[in-house]
Amino acid sequence: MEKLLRINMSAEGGPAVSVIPVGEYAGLGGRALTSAVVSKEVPPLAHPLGEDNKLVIAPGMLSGTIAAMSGRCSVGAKSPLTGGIKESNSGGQASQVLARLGYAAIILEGKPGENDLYKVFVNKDGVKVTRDNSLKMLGNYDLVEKMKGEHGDKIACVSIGPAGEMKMCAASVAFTDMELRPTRHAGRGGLGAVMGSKGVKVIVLDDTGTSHCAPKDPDKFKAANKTFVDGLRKHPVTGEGLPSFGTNILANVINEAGAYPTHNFLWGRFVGTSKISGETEAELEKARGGNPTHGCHRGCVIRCSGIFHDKDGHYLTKQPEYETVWAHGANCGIDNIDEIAMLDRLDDDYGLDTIEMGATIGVAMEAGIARFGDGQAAINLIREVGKGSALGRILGNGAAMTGRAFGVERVPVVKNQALPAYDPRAIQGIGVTYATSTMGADHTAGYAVATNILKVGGYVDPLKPEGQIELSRNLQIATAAIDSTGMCLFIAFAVMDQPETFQALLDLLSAFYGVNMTGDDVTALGKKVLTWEREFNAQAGLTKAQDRLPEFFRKELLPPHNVTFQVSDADLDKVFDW
Amino acid sequence: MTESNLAVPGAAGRLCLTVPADRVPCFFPLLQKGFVLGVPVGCPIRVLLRDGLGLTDEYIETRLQTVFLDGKPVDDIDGAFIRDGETLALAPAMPGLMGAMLRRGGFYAPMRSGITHRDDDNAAPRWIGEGRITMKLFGMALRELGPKLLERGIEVGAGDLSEVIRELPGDCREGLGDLEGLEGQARVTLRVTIAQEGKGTRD
Ligand code: SF4
Repeated sequence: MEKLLRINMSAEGGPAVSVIPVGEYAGLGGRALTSAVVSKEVPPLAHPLGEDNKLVIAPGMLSGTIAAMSGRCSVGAKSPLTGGIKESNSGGQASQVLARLGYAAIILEGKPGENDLYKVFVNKDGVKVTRDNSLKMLGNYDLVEKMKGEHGDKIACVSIGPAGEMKMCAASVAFTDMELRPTRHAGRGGLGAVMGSKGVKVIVLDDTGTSHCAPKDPDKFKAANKTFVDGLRKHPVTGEGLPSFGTNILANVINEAGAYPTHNFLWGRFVGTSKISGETEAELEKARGGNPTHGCHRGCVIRCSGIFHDKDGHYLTKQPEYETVWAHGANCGIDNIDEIAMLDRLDDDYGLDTIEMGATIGVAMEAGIARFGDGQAAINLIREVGKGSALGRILGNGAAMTGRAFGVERVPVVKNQALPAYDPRAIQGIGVTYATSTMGADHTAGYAVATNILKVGGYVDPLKPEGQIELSRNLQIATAAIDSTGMCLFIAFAVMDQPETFQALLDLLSAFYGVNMTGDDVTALGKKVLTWEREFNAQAGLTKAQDRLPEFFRKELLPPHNVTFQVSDADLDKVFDW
Repeated sequence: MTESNLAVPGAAGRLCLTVPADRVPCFFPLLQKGFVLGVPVGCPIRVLLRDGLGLTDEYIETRLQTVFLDGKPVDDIDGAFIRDGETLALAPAMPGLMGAMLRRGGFYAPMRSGITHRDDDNAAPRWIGEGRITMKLFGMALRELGPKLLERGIEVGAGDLSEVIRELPGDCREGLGDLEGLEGQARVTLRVTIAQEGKGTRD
């Protein structure tokens, strides 16, 4: 991964391609690289859809190697949704393929003068950018089929659907999975709209004739990978719970904790949870000939994903994951898993973030546009987005926009981005992360490695209120680092509980780069990334005033525990004091 | 788990079914939503799990790492007492930060301190003896404990049971006869005999 592919979409005479050495960004990957490029090269006050914004697609530091779980790909830019820096990452095949082609990142720059759409094709022989307006308004599924027809089935695609072309703030960037279906998405923050503003519909990657990225110390690397995989397989979460039930195994327990946002964050429990839980979903998938245990990319040994078939046993979509099932399910009062799966399919096809769209429909239901629990109405609303009707344009720009358009007060967003599936009144610690994350409300921002292993910030006294601030800070640091490696965050449990598995991760990095990486180095990387992001956001105009949860979380009691969010603003402002 | 049959006092109707092993998961939504069991109450949760359900300490330690009492995450199953009428939910370790926060005694437990079960929530049990609790099973606990509890007999809402039975595949419903009578009952004790092969029957 020694080169960068820059494509200037504003160049005279059409897009100009330059392949240059990675230079000052050497040794960075994933989120570290996307945030480095955006913070150094994008003027913070640039319009997110303007020519000065850049879309950066970067495989993780270990992507393209034989290391298990290393295929997450980061996408970064200034976000049209939050107005700040954004990194959103995705599974799928592209990260491995891009890394094997030798690219540390693809950077889309500028903006085409005409309203044309382009296809980018990258293989070992070079890069070709072609104007192709026949792709206009194709859904991701049809688009990928067309690419298969043109380039065969040994490709990986990174694409946008109609939502990205319409530059909607909920638009995602789609990544194809092992079956060459556009089911994986860098969903958060409207990065699909940035790709749409660059006029790029699809990037087709073909790594035929390339080989795995070679580590500096192959023997150490191989041994570390074996220890790492053994650790993942033996842990009950990564070796058993996630493969058996997927991420939606969380639905029942979050519901039991009274933290499962229901009817647009009105309640913390949903009466229909057992009908849409991961346990029920997995049994249904097995009964219909689908598969509840499936990887989103080659090299995943946890395999939290799955294949969802309709009632007739035909493929409909990938197994809708926890956030999606919650957003389109409990949050909208819908307890029909087939309707939720259809919403997931439509989101993937139009290229929409499922969390943002579920939250948006919840707000629309609150406004009386549809009835809570009416799955068919929710499907119709998503179709409006795909068509780009006036209503669809409002919805496709997210929950905050929809709340403003329809005068709704209870709008669950931070920095305009919809909250994920955990109510911060019941679980206060997650509220700290939602409020202060550089990314807007983001559950993955503080999702990862144990601070007691990394020893970031020393021992935290759990009995003190400021403990929550410390924990959130440390988690955000650790997550920023893990997001840079290309590792799936679901390694967290095994890494957290088993010191030898964490050491194996460090050994993988050390053996690949020929350095001696320690926990302190990982911490330093995470802090560096967060510092770049915070500085960019400050210059973009995001201040402490935006590091807050919406007012209703402090005012409205959340049943069944009847709690409000209690962490003070002064404490929230301490998160980044290090 | 012990093979003893704990009656479910107070349940109105009674339904005994024989279903093939591969159809047992059809009943799992009932176990997730909550079912009533007759168990010893007024004792610590661990005692209930060990003496009431026959689980070993090793199983409890390694497989039941997420425990809720009346919706509150429990950190200390030796210090938390269960009382008549309460709801106990059992699950293994769960993924993600949220799973880490909910895990009993976990490092991230402070992040959900606002809803944590505290000793003073029920420190002084008023009564020790047999009682009725609602139990919920999630994740692998559902697969591991669910079939045995179904065999032993659980009390569920008749409406919920009818819904599950309506959704059973046709071959499984064969022989169950007319279940309309269930609709008239508020609660039903369900006992499932797991047949190694063959069709479902109603005893
Ligand atoms: S664990 Fe799940 S999200 Fe992570 S790489 Fe595997 S399938 Fe993808």
